[in-house]
Amino acid sequence: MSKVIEVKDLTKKYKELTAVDHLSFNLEEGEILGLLGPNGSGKSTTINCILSLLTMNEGEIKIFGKEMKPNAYDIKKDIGVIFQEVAVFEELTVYENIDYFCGLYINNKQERKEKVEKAIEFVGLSEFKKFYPKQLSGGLLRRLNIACGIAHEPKLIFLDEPTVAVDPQSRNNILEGIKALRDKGATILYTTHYMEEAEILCDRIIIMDKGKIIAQGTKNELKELAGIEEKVTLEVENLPQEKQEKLKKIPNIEEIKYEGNQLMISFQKGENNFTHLLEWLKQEKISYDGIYSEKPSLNDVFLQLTGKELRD
Amino acid sequence: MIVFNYFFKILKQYKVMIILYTAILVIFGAFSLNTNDTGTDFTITKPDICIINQDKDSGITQGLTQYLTENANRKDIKQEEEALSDALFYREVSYIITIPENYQTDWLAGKEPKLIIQSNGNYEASLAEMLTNNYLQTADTYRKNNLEEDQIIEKTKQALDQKINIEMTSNLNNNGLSQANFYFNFANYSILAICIFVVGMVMSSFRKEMIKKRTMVSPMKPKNYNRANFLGIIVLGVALWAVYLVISMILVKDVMFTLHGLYYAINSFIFTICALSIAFLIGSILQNKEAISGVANVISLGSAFLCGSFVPVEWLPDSILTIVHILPSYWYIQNNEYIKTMEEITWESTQPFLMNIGMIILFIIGFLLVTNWFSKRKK
Ligand SMILES: Nc1ncnc2c1ncn2[C@@H]1O[C@H](COP(=O)(O)OP(=O)(O)OP(=O)(O)O)[C@@H](O)[C@H]1O
Ligand SMILES: [Mg+2]
Repeated sequence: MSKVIEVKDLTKKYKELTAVDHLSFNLEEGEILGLLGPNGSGKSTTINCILSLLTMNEGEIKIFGKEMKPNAYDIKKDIGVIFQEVAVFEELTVYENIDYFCGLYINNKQERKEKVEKAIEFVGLSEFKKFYPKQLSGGLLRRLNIACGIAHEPKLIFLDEPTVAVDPQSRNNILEGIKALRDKGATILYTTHYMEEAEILCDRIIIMDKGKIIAQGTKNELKELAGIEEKVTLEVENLPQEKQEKLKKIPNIEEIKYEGNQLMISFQKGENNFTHLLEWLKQEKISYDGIYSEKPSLNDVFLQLTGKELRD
Repeated sequence: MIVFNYFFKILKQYKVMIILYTAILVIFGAFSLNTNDTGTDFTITKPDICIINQDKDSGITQGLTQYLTENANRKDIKQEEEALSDALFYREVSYIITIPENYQTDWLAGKEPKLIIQSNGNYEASLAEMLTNNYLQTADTYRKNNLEEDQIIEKTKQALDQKINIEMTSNLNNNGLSQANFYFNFANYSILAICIFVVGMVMSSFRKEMIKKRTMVSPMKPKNYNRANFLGIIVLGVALWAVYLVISMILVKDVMFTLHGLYYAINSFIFTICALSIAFLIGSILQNKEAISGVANVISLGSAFLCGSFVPVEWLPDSILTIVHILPSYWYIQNNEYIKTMEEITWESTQPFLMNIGMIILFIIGFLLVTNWFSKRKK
């Protein structure tokens, strides 16, 4: 596999604030790489620097093996970008908008027509071709925004939080679409602050905070970092303090939390954790409802590494 | 090409506005046609004048007095300094001629004596001045031919009577000219409003932050992109001007196919380019569409009122008249007024016309420089 993007020591400062701090990573051909981080962690700044929309203070960026510059038109022709904010003309219909942005890349009318139709089909806007942007719902508008960025069938696609403020149905639709693009051969750099999205979608994830990479790898590799194996939640009424203390003595228990009637127990790696817990409950004659166990999430990884929650 | 094409697709969204302003122009243009077309075009205005003859017994001054009495409204004012200046001030008369003593003797001797003139400088005054000069110049030619005094008076009278007849026929188109003038003065308003509004709106759409970002990540070169936008603006302006010219050819066809018509066409063309440069400046400064529409209204209506699109500038207070010199519309409308009064079109009479055109071109250059400075500073 060849490297589609190579970022080395990328640093971007806004006056005092260092928004991106010596960031280095590669994007391999055919993968979906997720940049995951809370609001303000520097995801958009990173993308804008890679695209030469912002001048960086330090660093080196190569795309398709060539240095990326504002006038690197031969690189730009193979790139598609979907920005965080919707960028379309109010005065143009769905079809015309896609046709215009596709036309910045493709001159041939016939070829363009086919690609525009394909893109409309792809994002499911066939019934809305003649609609103006203000007649579209938020979710449909996002889909239009995506169609404008990918109609020219780029080899490399940047998506900057394309699902912000989108209803769940549209979101699934969008995520499916992105996977389909990858399956057709595109390489994708995807930013989000929704860890579920990163988990579902990305082959590899880079977790960012304050402009720095704090962890990277596949989702399974990352979860190893969380230091916990599983989390068990159960409903217990009136669990006295002394029992809680006793509970902590069970092997491999990392942490317990008791709020309302919810008892949350995090286990470290180990054998028979769940069985030990059930035996203990029986032994102490504690009655409980609805017990369930879950694997750690990227949020736990983030929590472990930064001491704060990823969710907003 | 795509940018140029879509420039006009976006522009199409504002067609209602273009049609509306054009319709107003056509309606008012046609309206002026009907009200003026009452057949009164042959009454030449007679200026109100006062003649004070201190050279009583001479033939030539009497000849002049008689000629003026026939072709102007002669009024008797008390021959006192104050009464005379009051009469001028209250526009009872526009022109006071005092013929000094010994005028005749000096004149016959070829000493070219001067008349004492008091004038309020308005249109009637210039008419009176023209009449006076007419008479004296004609008489002078005969004097130089060494004719007797009686003969000079006689021949001058004959020559002038003939001349009036010729002028009456040559000025037949006064009516058409004032209609053309009204039309092009009014067009000042429509052209400014449409150019600023439409160019502003389209530029605002193309300059939207996110749209710009999309363009910047595409392989479209900024040079080509700007050129396409610029070309779009020029084509819009030229098309608008061409349409307005065609309308004028229909409304006042007897003027538009003459040299006067050509001058009106040139003047309005230069002004349209000027309106585009204003629109370009505003489109480069303002992004908000409501603000652009507001500014378009203020500028088009404001300069139309101040510079005489709707009412003659003479009706405005002097203080405003001095200020409006800084508006290109003033020079455009003054030029229209000048074209209307051009008796014959010669190189000499064309010079003031070119001066006004030159002023408008200076404005165009100025607006472009400011725009350039502004967009550089923004970067
Ligand atoms: N133009 C700017 N001027 C100054 N500071 C900026 C500018 N743009 C971004 N920042 C700051 O840089 C940091 C990184 O911003 P950035 O937009 O890259 O974050 P992000 O990860 O994309 O966040 P979000 O999820 O909210 O989009 C933030 O602290 C932000 O306030
Ligand atoms: Mg962002």
